[in-house]
Amino acid sequence: MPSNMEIRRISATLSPSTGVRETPKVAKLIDTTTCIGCKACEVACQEWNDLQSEETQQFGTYQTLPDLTPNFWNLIRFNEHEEDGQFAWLMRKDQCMHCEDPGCLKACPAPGAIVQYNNGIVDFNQANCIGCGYCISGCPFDVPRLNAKSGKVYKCTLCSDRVSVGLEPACIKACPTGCLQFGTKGNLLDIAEKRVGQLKAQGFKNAIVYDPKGVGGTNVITILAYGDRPELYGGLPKDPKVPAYLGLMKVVLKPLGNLLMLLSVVGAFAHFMRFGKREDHE
Amino acid sequence: MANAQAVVGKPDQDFVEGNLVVRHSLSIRVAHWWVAVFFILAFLSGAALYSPRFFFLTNLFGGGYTARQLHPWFSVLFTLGFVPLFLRWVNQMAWTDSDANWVKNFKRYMRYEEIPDVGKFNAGQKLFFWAAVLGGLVLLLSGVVIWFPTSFPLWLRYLSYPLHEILFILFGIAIIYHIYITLFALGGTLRAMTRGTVTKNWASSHHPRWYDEVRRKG
Repeated sequence: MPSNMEIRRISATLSPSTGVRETPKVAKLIDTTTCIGCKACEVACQEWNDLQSEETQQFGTYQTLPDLTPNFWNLIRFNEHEEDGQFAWLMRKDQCMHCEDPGCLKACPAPGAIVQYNNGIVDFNQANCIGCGYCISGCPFDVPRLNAKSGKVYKCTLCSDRVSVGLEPACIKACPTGCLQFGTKGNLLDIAEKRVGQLKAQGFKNAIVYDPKGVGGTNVITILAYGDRPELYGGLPKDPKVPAYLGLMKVVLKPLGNLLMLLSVVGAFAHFMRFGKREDHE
Repeated sequence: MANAQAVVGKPDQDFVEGNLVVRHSLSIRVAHWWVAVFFILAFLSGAALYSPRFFFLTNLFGGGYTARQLHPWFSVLFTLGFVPLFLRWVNQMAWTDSDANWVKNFKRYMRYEEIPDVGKFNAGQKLFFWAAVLGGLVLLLSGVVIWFPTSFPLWLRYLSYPLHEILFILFGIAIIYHIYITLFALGGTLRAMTRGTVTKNWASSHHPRWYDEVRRKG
C-alpha cells in the first residue's frame, strides 16, 4: 500500500488502525465563484469511475439530475439567486466532503466497510459493506447512496485509486477554469483565503472558505461568496455536525449495554449459587 | 394429552389430567416456540450489528450482508407468532390487587418462599408480558425506520437508532433471566412449555389460586 494511503480509521473495528507514517492531508478546493457550470467534472467522474450513465431529467434547471445517485457521485447544483437587484447563478459541486470526523464511518457497523486514509480520504469498501444504510443517516451532508442492484452504498472516492499513484482526481483534471484545485490541505487553505480576500474586496463581505468545524473540517473545501447563507448553494448545511446519536450509541449505550448484559449473567449465576434450584412442596 | 384435546367441548388447557395439570395448550406452546426461535435469530443477527464485538455472529447467517437482510424478516416472523400469543393471554395479564402483593413480596419470591394468592400468571410474568408487548412495539416501529432509512425523515432516524439499541439491551437482559428462571432456577417449569403439563405439586407451589380454580372445575 502506498504510504499516502495508510489507514487512519476503520469502521466497526476495535483494534488500532495501521497508519503510523506522517503524511500530508490532501484536499480538493471548489471555488464556486469561478465555476461556469460546464459539468466537465460530472462527465470526468462518470468516465473515470466507469459509472453507468443516468438518464438526465428536465425539471426546470440546467442541473443534470435532481440529486446524487448511486451511479452519480458528483453533481453541480444550480441555484438562481437574486439580491440587491443583482442576479447570480450559484453553482456548487455536491459530492462527498471527506470529513475529518466522518459520521458515516462512525455509524457503520460493518468492519472495514468504511476507511479513512492518513491523507484524509474517506473511502467505502463495497466488499465489506452490508447494505444497512446506517452511513446514509450518519452523513451530515446526505451523500451516500444505496444501489438497489448491488445492495451496497456508493459515493465519491476522491479518486483514491488515482491519488494513490500521485494523480489528481478526475474532476480536477477536467475542470477548464481552474475552479477545482487539488493539493495539500494547508496549501489550498492559503489559496482559498487569498481568494476570499479578493471577494471581500469586491463587495462579497460574507465570503468564506467552507470548512465546517462541526465535522472536524473537511478535505473538500468550498469557497462561498455568500458564506453567511450556505443553504443557498443547494442546501449546504450552515453548521453540519456529526449527529449526536452516534456518540450516544458508541460512547454510552454500547459499553453500558455490554456491562448490563454481562452483569445479568453474573447476577443469575450468583442467584443460582446462593439458592440453587427451587423445589416444590409435597 | 392429544386424546384429551380431541374430546369435543373440553378446554385445551387449565384442567387436571391424572397426576398432572395441563397448563399451556398445544397451540400456545407452538406459538411460544415460534416466537422463541425467531427471537433468538433476530437477537443474534441484531447483536452482530449492535457491536463489532459480536460481528462474528454474522457468520451464522451467511455473512454481514445476509444477516442484515434476514434480521428484519426474523422480527416480522416473530411478530406474526406474537399476535396469537397476545390475543390468548391479554385477558389473563390484567393487573390485580394480588399482583401488588406479589411485588411487595418480591424478595421472598427470590428466596423461593411461596407466595399465596397467585393466579395462572404471577405479577412478574405479567410485567414481563407487558414489557415485551410495549418494548416489542417500540422495537418494531423503530426497526421499520431502520429497515427503510431513506423513506423516513432524519429526526425519526436519529431517534430510532438509539431507541432500537436501548430496547435491544433491555430485551437482552430480560431474555437472560427468562431463560435462567425456566431452565435453571425453577424446577419443573420448562415442561409447561414443552409437554404443556406441570405436576400438581408445582401448580400448588407456584400458582396456588390457579391450581384451586383448576381443581374446582374438575
